Amino acid sequence: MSNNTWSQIGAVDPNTYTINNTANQTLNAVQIGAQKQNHNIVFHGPSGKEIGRFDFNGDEMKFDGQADTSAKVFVEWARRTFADRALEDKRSVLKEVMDALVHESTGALYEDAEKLAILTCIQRVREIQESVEPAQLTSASDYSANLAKSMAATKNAVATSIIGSVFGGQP
Amino acid sequence: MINDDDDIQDYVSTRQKAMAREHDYERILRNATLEEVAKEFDKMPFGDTAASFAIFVRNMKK
Repeated sequence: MSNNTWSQIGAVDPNTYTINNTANQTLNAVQIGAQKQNHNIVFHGPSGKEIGRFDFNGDEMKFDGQADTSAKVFVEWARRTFADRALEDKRSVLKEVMDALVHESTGALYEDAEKLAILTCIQRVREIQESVEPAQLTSASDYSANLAKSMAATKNAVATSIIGSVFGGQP
Repeated sequence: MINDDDDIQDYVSTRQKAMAREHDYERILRNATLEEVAKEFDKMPFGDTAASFAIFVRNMKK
């Protein structure tokens, strides 16, 4: 291993790709430096320590480390990256649908029954959007609290929509 | 150049195929998402309004 190569998490080595264990859920991907021929792909295990390394600097590519464990880290990273990409694309399409529905239903004169149908359609799209939103929870208690808040908000929104649609905002 | 053996056509063709596959993937995912939404609208007991929105969403497919 070259003395010029270092790959600790948080460090910036323009020649090294670092693929961390999935517990960290991150990839430190940085550009290949033009001025230094010192290219590596490094895999980090659960403890954050290096468990394997592709070295592209010699005449032939070499791998040092735990091949099986590194392969698992790489496969999980690739799987997660693909899944994240698919979810991001789906979120984008759902936003387009929501914007289009809101635009279509704004300003038009609808019957009460139609208003109810439109609001329910919009609410259903919102639920699908929520199902593909990225998780940002840090603990089980946060999850419970957020779930309770979400359920209460949805219940209120649906009740308000139905009352507003049926009674024209005059319950 | 007579001795130039770089086959740029192969490179470009491979790149174009990769871009086409990427485009196909995006189109398939988009259409699947729109169909998922349309099917949800199909299930709703609101008659013509929900049905027309299902058609509207299906027309957003590429």
